[in-house]
Amino acid sequence: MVTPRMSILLLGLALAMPAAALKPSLSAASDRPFALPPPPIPAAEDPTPKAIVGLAVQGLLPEPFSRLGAAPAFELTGAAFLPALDHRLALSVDAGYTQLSTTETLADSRVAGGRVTNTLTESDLRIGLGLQFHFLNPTATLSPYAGARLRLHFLSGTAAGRAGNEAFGNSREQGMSFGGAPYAGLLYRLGPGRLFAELEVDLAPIDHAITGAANLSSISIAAGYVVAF
Amino acid sequence: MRRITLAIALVFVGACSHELTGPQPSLEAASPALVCDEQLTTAVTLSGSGLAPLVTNGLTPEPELDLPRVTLQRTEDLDGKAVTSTPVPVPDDPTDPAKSQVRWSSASSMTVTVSPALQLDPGLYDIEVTNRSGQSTTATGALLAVPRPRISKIVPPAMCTAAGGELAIEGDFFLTQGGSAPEVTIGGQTFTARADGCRKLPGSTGAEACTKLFVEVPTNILSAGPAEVTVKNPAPAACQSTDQQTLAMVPPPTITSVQPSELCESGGALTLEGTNFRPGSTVEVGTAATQSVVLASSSELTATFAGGLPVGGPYDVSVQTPEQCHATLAGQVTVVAAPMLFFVDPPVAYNGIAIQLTAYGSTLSANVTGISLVPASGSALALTFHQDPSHPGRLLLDLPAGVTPGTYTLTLQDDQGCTASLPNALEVVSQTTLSISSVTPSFGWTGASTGIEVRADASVGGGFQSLPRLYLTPSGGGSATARALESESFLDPSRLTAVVPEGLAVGAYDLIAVNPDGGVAVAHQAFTVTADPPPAIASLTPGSVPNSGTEDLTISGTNFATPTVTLTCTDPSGQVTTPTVTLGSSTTTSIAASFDASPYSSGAACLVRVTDGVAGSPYGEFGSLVITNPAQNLGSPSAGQALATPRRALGLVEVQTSAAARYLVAVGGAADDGSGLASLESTPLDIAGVQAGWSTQRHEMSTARAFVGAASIGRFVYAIGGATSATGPAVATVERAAVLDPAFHPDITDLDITVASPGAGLAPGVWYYRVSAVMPNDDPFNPGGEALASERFPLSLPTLTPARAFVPTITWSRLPGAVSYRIYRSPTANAPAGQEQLVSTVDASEPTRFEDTGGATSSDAPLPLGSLGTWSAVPSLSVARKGMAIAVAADPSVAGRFWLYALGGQDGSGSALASYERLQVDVAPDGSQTTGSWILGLTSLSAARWQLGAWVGTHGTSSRIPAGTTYVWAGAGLSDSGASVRYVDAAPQLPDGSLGPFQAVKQMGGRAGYGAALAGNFLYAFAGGGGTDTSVSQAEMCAPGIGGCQTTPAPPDLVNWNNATSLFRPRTLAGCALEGATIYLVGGVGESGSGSTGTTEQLTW
Repeated sequence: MVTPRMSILLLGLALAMPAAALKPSLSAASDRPFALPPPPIPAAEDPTPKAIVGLAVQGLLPEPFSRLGAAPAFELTGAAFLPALDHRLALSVDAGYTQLSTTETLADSRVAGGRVTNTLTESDLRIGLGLQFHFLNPTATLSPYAGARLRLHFLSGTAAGRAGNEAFGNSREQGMSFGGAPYAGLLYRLGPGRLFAELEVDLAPIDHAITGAANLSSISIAAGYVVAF
Repeated sequence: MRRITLAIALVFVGACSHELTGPQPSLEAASPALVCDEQLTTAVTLSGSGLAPLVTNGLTPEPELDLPRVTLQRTEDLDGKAVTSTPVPVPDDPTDPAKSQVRWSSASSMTVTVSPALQLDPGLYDIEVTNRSGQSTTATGALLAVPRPRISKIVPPAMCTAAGGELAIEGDFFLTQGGSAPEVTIGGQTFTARADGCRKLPGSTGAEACTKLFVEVPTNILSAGPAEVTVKNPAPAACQSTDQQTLAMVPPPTITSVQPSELCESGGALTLEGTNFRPGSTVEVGTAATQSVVLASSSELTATFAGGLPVGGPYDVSVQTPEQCHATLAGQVTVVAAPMLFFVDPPVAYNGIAIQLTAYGSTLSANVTGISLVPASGSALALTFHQDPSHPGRLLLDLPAGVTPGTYTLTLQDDQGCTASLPNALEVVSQTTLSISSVTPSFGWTGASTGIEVRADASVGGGFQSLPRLYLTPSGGGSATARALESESFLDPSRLTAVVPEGLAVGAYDLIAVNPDGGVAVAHQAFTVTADPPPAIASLTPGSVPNSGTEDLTISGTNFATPTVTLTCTDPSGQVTTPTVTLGSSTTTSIAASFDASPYSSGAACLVRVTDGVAGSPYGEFGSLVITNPAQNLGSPSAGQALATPRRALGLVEVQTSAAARYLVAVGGAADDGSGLASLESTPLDIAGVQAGWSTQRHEMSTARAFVGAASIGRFVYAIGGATSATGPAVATVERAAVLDPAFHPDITDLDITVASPGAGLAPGVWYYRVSAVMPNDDPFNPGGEALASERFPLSLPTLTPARAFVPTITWSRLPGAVSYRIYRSPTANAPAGQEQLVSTVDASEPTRFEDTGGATSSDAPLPLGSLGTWSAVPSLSVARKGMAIAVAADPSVAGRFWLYALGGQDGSGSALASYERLQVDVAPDGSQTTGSWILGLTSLSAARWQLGAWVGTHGTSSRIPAGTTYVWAGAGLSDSGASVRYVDAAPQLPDGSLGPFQAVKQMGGRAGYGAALAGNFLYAFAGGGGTDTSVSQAEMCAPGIGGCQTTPAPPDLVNWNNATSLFRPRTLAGCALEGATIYLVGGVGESGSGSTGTTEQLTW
């Protein structure tokens, strides 16, 4: 369910997409600002691309699904247009990475202070493979598409708990999870490539110890630029 | 960018497999490592690292915190034996943290709660901690679970509140660790315990499980009543015992009264009243403990004591309970000395007669309540008894006739509850094993002691043994005690002498003789104590009569009231007849009698009896009147006992200590080698004059005296002149010694005895005591000398259980004039009587008592009967003389005065002497004698000579001498040159005691050194006619009608000298003495004509 909060978040994400494309990752995994190349100047009508490859920045909103907090993701995306359906069916491939985390406190009399603070961070290296259908010719300036992808999540979760000033010590749980993600997006031809914006519902169940039988699903809004080939 | 790439790569690589990783835990320690989960909930802190909880289900609505899982697994039991067991997880439910037994503090510290809910078996546990991520660690043997302490027994089960003490708690799993010990709670009070019997428990806790605890319970800290005992182990395994163990705290007893207040040292019973008496209590009186205690109730008990209690007090009485409670009541009981019986006199009784026994004991109560004789089997015989207040240590017991023979124990009870017992105190015999043949005399006066001779048939039971006990008991029993005779002297198995003490009640007595071995003789009515003195015959005049016809006889003596005279004559062939005796006039001291002696052969002897009244009345006897032929030849000599020391040129005298005790005393002389002898010997003589045997006198003369002159006057023996050797010059010194009076001695009057530990006194057995007195230097009889000892006092000490020794204390009567006393005692227990030796000396200034602690004796023995006292000097001769003749004659007019005459001899220059000198001797009524100085006679012998003999005749000795006249004859001898001088000079005694002019009478053959004796109307000279001469020459006194008299037919003229008989051996320089009807010749020149001989012989006249 998309909550009002989530709406505001989506809007802000859309506005901030360009900035976000340049904003460094929230994850502590990178400490260098990330700058996207300027969008390519749309060319005159291009031929139907055979494929498109690009980078995207996603804003993940897991909250409808879990306590995980919003987090960006970075994705390398690409699609290979299939002959079928007048080249409007593409086989999509994407690989992305995100870190989702949440911190919560729970009461437990078994520890000093009776309260436990636990930060759960899931690093998700995702590889998706799917089909996307472009409603218009992908060469159109504005091309909506939709698709669905199967996504393989390579997950590495860490739980960093503490009780009071005593840290539990970090535990790491690694594993894989399969998910799926329907999505719709819009391509805007700009320059040599296309700007795209995509709205995805990433459905990523997870059943790890540190997460429980939960999911890493999120609604993501992605924006990126792809280069057509 | 690089980090992102790397992270992505790692994720990609790691995520290929599902893996949960986390910190690796490690455990260093569990604290505490020791728990008692049986009762306690213990928080055990696990220390280590990497103890990592994990929040799981973090994205679910209900995240959970998974703490590291703790599991306990028992690997060893408490004995260290390996065991397999199912791991026990410590409960921890993340969904219900409140119930979790696990707590997490940090990555290095967790706490698990070990509680009874875990139901851990005792043993050593591994602790495994497993993180949620799956990493685990195990601490091996990190936790030791122990059970609660268990009490199986407490010792003692009861304790006195006032005494406290050590309590031992037995059980198991009393833990000690690091110096900590279990805490013991008793009755709510907590005490520190000391553990024992510990064993190490497995693991590294250092804990030990012990099986004993010792707790010191102070006094008065716990109240009376049951006190629960619990043990609590030290932390952290501070479980507590749950066994129902109770220590009974009992209050101390109290004593309110003790009855009776006196207890006998031989034991008895006390009744105590008080409170809190308990079974198993003991009672002490002073330091003496009970033999048994009987509890009537908690407020009354009876304590019985065995013997051996310490005499004295009053002693405290204490009660001690088994719980060590005690109470004391001070000064409650006095222990009185138990009576002790140690001797019954006589120890052997003949049951054919009733006698009175004397039981000797000590600490006898003044109120003896019963005395019994207890046989080995059968009923006890109660005896009538009397206590002698003047002798508290003695009891007089009436033993009836007819008591069953056997050995009896004498038992005694007194009013203090004390008892005494003397096993084998009395042996009752029914058979007499000895036979008394005669008692002479058989009568005695109650007012004086009487010397008697007792004869037994030695073929019956072996006769007397040395030394038997003689008793007189009233014929038919009665109240008079069986009285012991005194001054017993054992002569041989058929003869002994004794003295009947004065003071016996008038009447007839049975004489009982008891040998040391229990042989018994009874002579019924053997002795009669008369109210008046019985007749006593002192002498017969003449002592022999010829068998030529009717002969007159004068019997001298005392107490002739209404006399009758009987003669019992024994012919040499053994035929016995009783001639008719015609009495003439008589007085109380003299009887004139006559009888026809013609029927009798020469040598017949008659026993003269003077009876006071009719037959059966008291009588006195005298033996014997000798019947001779008209020539009055002597009987044949018979050998006597040999001297202890051969001697020649000696003096020989006879002395009497009592009417029945007569002795010959050999004085000085020359030994075989010619050296002078200072020693003396003596032999007792029986009533027939037989020598018993010579023994050396203890006291010697002050100087050796060969060729000594010897005489006896009263009790004194005089040694006159002589020489220090046979060839030495004559000396003028004169000395004398008195025969010790057998009645002059202390008497042991009482005996008390205490017991002592073995070795501190006398051992059980028979002991004999005698006490003698030492007289002062100015004693008229025995200056500085020792008197005869008391009658032997026997003491039989019993064997006690437990073994004891005895300390007798004897008490004796004081002897007037004594300066000290010598106490003699048997050297060892059961030594034969007569072997007493000196054990101590008591000064006369001290009490006359001696406490004998068993000291050793010396070899000194009491002086025997017949001993002479010390020698003391009397005035010396006017002229030194040796080889002189000695004569003694009573003063013609002064009673009690005697004259001692020394005639002739050889002076100091070796010249023969014709002179004589005399010494006045006055005998006092007490027997003491004073002397004058020697008075040289005005007359002299017809010729000087030495080695001469002398004879003294009176009317009492010789009927032919007129009454009131005394003649002294001096016989032949040797001149200066050794030539024989054959003159015989006679002189009358003048009124002043001097001798009248000597007139020559019939010369005798050449003799020197011969024995001279006057018997009847004859003078006898024995041997002396040369070295081998054995002849005996006799000379008859002249009398009217006797032919051959040269001058006047009257003494001192002699008819002639002719041979009378022969001695059985030569006897020159022999000692010669006349006693009664016997002439004794002792010693002389040796067989070879030189040296000295110790042989003796005797003849009757």
